[in-house]
Amino acid sequence: MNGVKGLLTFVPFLFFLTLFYLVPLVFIVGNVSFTDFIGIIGDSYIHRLLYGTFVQALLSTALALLLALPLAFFFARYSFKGKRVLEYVLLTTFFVPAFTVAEGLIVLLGERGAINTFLSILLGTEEPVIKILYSMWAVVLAHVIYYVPLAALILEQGFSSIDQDLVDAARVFSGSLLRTLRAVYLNALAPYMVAASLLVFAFSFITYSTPMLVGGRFTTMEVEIYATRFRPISSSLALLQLSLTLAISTVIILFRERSYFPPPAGYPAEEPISRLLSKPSGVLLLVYVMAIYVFEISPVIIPMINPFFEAGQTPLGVFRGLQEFKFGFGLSFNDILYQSLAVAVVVSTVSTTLSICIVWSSKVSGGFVERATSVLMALPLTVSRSSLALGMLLSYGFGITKLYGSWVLMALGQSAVITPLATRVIEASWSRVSREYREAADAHGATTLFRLIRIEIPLVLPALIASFLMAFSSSLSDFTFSTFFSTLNLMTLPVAVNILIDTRRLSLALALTSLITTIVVAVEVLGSQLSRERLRVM
Amino acid sequence: MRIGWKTLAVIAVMAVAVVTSTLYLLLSQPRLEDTLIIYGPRGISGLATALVNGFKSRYPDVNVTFISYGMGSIEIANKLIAEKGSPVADVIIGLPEFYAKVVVDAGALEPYKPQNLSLIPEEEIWDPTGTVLPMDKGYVIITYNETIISRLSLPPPERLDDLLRPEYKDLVFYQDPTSSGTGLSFLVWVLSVKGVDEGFDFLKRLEQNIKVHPSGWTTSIIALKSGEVAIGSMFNTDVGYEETPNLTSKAVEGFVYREGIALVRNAKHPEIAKKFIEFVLSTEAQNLVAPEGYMYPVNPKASVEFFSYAPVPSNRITFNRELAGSVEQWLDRWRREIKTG
Repeated sequence: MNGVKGLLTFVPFLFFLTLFYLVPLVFIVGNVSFTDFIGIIGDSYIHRLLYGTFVQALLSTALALLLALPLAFFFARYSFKGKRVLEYVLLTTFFVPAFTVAEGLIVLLGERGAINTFLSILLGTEEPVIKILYSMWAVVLAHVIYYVPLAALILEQGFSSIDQDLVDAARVFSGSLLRTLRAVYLNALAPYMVAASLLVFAFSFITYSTPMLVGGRFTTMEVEIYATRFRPISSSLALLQLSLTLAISTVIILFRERSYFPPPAGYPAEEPISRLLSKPSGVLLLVYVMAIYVFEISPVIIPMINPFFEAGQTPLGVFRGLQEFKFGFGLSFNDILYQSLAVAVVVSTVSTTLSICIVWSSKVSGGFVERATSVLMALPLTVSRSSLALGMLLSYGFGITKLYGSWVLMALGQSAVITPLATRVIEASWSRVSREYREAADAHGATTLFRLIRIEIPLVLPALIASFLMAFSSSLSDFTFSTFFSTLNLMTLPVAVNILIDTRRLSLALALTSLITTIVVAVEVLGSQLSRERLRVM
Repeated sequence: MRIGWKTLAVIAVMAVAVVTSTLYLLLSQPRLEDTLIIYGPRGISGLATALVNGFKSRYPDVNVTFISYGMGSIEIANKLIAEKGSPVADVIIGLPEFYAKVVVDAGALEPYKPQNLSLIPEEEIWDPTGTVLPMDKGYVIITYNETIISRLSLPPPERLDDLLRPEYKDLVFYQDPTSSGTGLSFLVWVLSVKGVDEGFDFLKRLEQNIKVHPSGWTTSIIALKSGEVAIGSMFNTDVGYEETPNLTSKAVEGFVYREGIALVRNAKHPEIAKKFIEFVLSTEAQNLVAPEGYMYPVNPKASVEFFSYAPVPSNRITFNRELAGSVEQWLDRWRREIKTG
């Protein structure tokens, strides 16, 4: 492939990066005052925030990885009916609004919460046993809940890449479990562990809603950006934050580039789960996996069912209450539902189509372009959503285009953060399209376009549908861009939750949150049924 | 080149979904440039919706929308100032009394005296320049969970200084003023009464009793419901709220949070903006204030029956105007010295 053609295959990726990230971020950087920037670099308060944010992210990462390791091993090694559904369901915490998990934590871990009440009765004390709510540890715990599934997905790929024959050989020759672990597992898993660590670290570093909801006096850089947003200093803080997260992303990219190897064309051999039950360590692993599911799902389930229990209403009754409520500029609940669904359809289509173009062009090009595109798509994952929303507001809302108030701006914002994830899902599936198919098509004189439409797309269709549905549920549950870009004429379900809160209808607000969560879970389960593909994030 | 029926079916379904969605969104959205744009904080969106709907029924041919960008009252006011060269908004609502001077001094607003201003009593008009007109008001008071206070045999709090009682340790809350209007009102209340430096000293001492600074109203309610906190600042209309059982108040003193409405200088639709301001002061619109939120109307003819249950504080503290213009410095200081100090 000549240089020009090679460059042309970069176009979809460059188009995505420029439209969705570079232009908005340039508008943020354009607002930065040099004096402010120097001021915050020397500010001891900012140093304190950075230190706290760093420690919190480090702890979140270490704990999330530790808990994810056995889970990843379980999913990589054993097969059973409903495995894909379980994997997708585990991702629920990653997609539900932060508020849902925070409420679950308060109900469970509050000083008068379910766990403390149980422990107090058990230990015969009136004092709460666990006092972590409203502290840095509550933020760490919430992050662990969010990111264990993400880390497990990445590590699962690592475990899948290990050849069982190699493990058996190491066991025979070394005679020690510890040596086997060091010789085989540690070597094979190291790149995945670093990748998972860096991603979880970056996500923990840039979240703001969790510290706001359960952090108490503990605060982070992102909260400071939120607190000063729309003031000139906010752009300087955002730039500092952006520089740090970009540095982390660069480490991810460099590391990926060093240790990159394409995913295997086939699926790794898995053992039936019945084998697990034949030994005590296996039963222990199964109990552990079940405990992790309880740990992950209970903070989501409780806020989902609580509104119905507390209000003593049936879901139908709550739904009727929502229908009777007038939300916006004459907007009924049905109007908001239709608008949300319509935006979600557009966002899913845009992000899936864009992802197909990015993956296809990189695969056509192969070699360096394929590798570079693959690793560079990790870059946007670590950009703060509120900074990006602010940049989009400045650039496309009121800057080069006047899109504020239009659904297009909301769709642009959501597509920016969903496309990198959709690309990961599609890329994994595309990599499994057998080379023989491609070579056979080429030998018969098929054009690149013919090969795309007749061979590649039909083969990756399940992954396309899964990515479409994942994008759909992400769009439905998006709070950041929805809140930034909604008006009374344009409203999505998460914004309707805000309206209900503002008008003091808390039980309806919680019921609507639970409805959104239910839709997200249902769509994910549907995705798992339609796709035979494992989820990939790195 | 033949395309399989499965692929065709998927493409057809997706195409229909996308075309339908796009058409629906295109047809259901009025063009913003033909629209009267009202800025205001996110927390006022319930009332704003009702006012816009009411105005639309009076002027059915006018497109009106309310925009908050998800911002609080200070941020939306700052956005208005930032846009003063080429304003997007025609009217701003929910502008707090304690930040009005900054916006007026920045030259972002146009003085306007509506014909029906006589409907509003003199004592409700708080902007000496007459640029920002009163729109509604609310009372931030000290509330407590009667069940918890009785169970612990504690005296109920009545005044700000009561909150410092050592026996209230870990029971008190007030909202984070950087994210909550109620929290900001509490901060302004303390500073209005005690002055800036002494006020911050008071807040530092108060931290010993503070359990949490909830990020907003919802998190306050959840903390109250779960029994995590028992004493704290809320609007008087939150007392008796069905979802916070036994939340009550002695209502001995409270802070009067007042907010206004103003015409934006160089607004694109000044005439219809003036009509909107007149409408908001009218009895018809003021009747919407109480049912649609937690604030009281400023037009005495409007009904407040909706809040008959809510205790109005006997000693009502208003904003100390000598402090005007420093809210952002207070918020910075609060984050640095109180929250993380």
